[in-house]
Amino acid sequence: MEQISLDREDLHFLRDMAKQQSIQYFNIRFASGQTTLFSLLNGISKSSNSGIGKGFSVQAYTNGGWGLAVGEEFTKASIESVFNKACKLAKFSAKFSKGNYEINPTSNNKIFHEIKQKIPLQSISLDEKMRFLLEIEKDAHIDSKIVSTHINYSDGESEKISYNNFDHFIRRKESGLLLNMQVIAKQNGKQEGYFLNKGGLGGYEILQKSQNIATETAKNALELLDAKPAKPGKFDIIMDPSLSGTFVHEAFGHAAEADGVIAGESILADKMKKKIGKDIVTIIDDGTIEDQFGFTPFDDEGINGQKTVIVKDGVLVGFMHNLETASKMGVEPTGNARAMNISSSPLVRMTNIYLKPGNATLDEMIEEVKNGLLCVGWNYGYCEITGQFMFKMAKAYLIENGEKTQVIKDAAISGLTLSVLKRISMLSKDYEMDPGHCGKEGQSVSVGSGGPYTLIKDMVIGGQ
Amino acid sequence: MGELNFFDPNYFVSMYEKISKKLDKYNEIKQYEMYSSSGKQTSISYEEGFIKKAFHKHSSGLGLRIIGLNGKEGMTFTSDYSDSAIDRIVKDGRIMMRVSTENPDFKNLANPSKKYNSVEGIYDPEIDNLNLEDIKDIINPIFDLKKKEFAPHSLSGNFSSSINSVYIFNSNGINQNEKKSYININSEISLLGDSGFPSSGFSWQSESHLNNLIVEDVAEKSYQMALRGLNKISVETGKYPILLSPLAVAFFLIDPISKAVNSEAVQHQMSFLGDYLNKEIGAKSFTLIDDPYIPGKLSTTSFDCEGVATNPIKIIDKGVLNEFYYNSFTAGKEGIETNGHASRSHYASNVGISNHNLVMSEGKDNWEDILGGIKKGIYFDYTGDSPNYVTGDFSGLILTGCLIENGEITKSLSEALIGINLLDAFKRIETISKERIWIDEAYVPWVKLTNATISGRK
Repeated sequence: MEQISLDREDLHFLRDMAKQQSIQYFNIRFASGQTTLFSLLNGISKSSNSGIGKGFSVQAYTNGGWGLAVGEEFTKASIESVFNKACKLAKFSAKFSKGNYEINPTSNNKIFHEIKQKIPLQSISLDEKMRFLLEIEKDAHIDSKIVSTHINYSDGESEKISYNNFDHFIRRKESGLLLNMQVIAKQNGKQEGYFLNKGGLGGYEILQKSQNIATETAKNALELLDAKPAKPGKFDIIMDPSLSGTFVHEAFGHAAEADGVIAGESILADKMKKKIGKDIVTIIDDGTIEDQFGFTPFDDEGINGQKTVIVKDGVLVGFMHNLETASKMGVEPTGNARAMNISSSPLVRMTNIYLKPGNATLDEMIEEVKNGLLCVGWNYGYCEITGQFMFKMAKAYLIENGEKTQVIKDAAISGLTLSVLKRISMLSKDYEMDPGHCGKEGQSVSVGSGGPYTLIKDMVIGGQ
Repeated sequence: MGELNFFDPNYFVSMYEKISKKLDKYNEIKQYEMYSSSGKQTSISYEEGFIKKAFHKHSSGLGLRIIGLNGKEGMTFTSDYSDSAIDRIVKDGRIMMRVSTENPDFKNLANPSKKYNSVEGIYDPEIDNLNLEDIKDIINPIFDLKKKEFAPHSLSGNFSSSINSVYIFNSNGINQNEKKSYININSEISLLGDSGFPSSGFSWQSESHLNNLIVEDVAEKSYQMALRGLNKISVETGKYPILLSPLAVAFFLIDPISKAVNSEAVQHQMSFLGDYLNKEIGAKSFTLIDDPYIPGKLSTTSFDCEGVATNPIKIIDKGVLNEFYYNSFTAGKEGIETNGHASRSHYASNVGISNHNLVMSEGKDNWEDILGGIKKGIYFDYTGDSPNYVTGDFSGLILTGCLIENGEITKSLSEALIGINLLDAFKRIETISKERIWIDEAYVPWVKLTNATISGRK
């Protein structure tokens, strides 16, 4: 990986260029990184891939208009050229923008931050990584009904620099890995699959928490062979921590991103300081949790990651911000400006968002349910701006008169966010976070999401 | 590398020759392939009914596949074309090849095809020469929505134009390149009803030619969708006749088929269509053709991402599943020739498998007559959901849909989910309209299903 040798002094000239061109705000972001990917189908390499990349981008702002231009060479001439392009794009946007607003200054610190690797990724040979993957592939074959496996492993390291017109310079070193596994089981012509995903930021030590991924995935695939399709209709449901995390991320979190609020695309726009959920509902976005996938010590505008309380005891108390939205709304930025890569503009994004746990046990919650579902794991989910959401669960168990019974497959949950927040009736004291990726405006960033087991009354379940 | 070289085929010929010389020195390397892509993109995003951001970038990179003894394969990629970066990826490619497992199913990288059909209309110089002021004029009809009597509560979207070139070479003699143009516009709008509850609408259009873009239609469709959703209702859970709009046919019926006929998924028992080759899976009226030659369409191409010539194929013929999609690896595994469906989303990505343009059969009835024959049913317009590709089970939200009452589309649906196994859906195709429209790369009609299960709050 190519080290970025630039320092703050090397970029001071951009502040003069900005003044000359009447640019009110700019940031420049450099990145250099490398990645390794292995994909195995049934224990045979589908691909063994490694790559290197580097580049930088300039984002410029003037009179309500933004411009973003991208370059590759870290030379002064190249930086100047890309800077000028970004200024030209910003001036074009400004001509047709809604109107001017100021970007509030950030503190002009020089900061270095590195994500710690207890076991550095580079200290483990590629052969050893491949051996590990072949071992876990073997672990998946716990039954002759397991007919197929698919493993994807990726790790990467990068160095990033960001600098802005407030002379705020941050150098970051990041690293992490992801491991996911799909297992297919087949019996009497019926086939079922299950998928699990593990990962985090740091070094190879993350894999130590993933040793059981193969057996866990295989057991779930086998269990689904006996599953029945969900029955359609209304049920009380208990969402497990990963589904609670999906709910709080998809159905609520996106609506609390201030760019959507300003654009009139959020159901929370007129709800500040109002009661929107039951007293037991507290929702927090926390970029400071080090071992979670959304750990953001500094965001892509150089603002330090923070713990932002969004809902406290059922009352909406905050939104997530970048510099632009914080400036427009007259509040402090919350460290939520995140970009997929240097070719993308930092948008307001969640980091690690979770629903605060309660006091109940899972058994107590199951006892409360006469006719319902215990929903386990998530496949995907989304929410439209009206607050209508859908999550696809990995599997579920019927709950009949307080007893967990039959396993259920391929069920979808739908609801309206503001209505559902008022129907959350119990939260467990057990709580977990999951790694994941979130998409917004074509950009995918790593996030953490989680919560406790969550009992919600009267949800619509799709089935056959 | 200067941006001027990004679209110069000779530059990449030289690059391939340089890399070949380095790779040919190693006895352990049996075959190799270089896939390069270059692109330039300009986009403008709008928010609150005004332009907010303009973006421009050039990019280029190459991916290298290196094949060793017994099918061992390594891959590397870089966006840096300096000599040191090229040395680095050659070295890393050899390391990745050595680390990979042997693969007895690997037979050969792709061979040059005997004939490449020339295709028309994939590059529009007008798109290549668009400047920012031109784009502003193009997107103006979106902003005209602000003048509507029922003014938008929010109005946002994005316009994007791009030129992309690919250059594919391999040690078997493949040498292909292609330059394509692409434009996309989308409009997202919300309206506030009397109750203060928002209704959202969206629409988009993607084309290879500027002349085919009708921004007024995109704007109006998003507005009408939001307008229809102002008074949403819940439905009772039960079985209903379903009329699928072309949008729903594209995303609910056709897209899942195109993914399930991926031979890699079939070979690894990850496809719900894997056991149905040459079997009847749907109504006799149901035919689906993959056609890479239709002039000017998004997935029109004369070769796939391994440089193999493309050809039209019938995926489903009168209800019978006729063929799977192959790349050189999956075809070699079965001892057959690839049918030209290798795909790569990016120079850094692995070789996968995907479709070209998809054309579904037409029926005899006018779609409004089909609608007129439904006393009580569901008009299913769009879902953001995908089926379980292993089982074919589908359970997802009707994001935009309406109740059909006495042959007319009436109220919009809220919290309505549809559940059906796709194998059942194919068999329940009762009527297909004679009208068809393009949704991205799919040419699709309206389709009536006998019934499906709808879950609702009522």
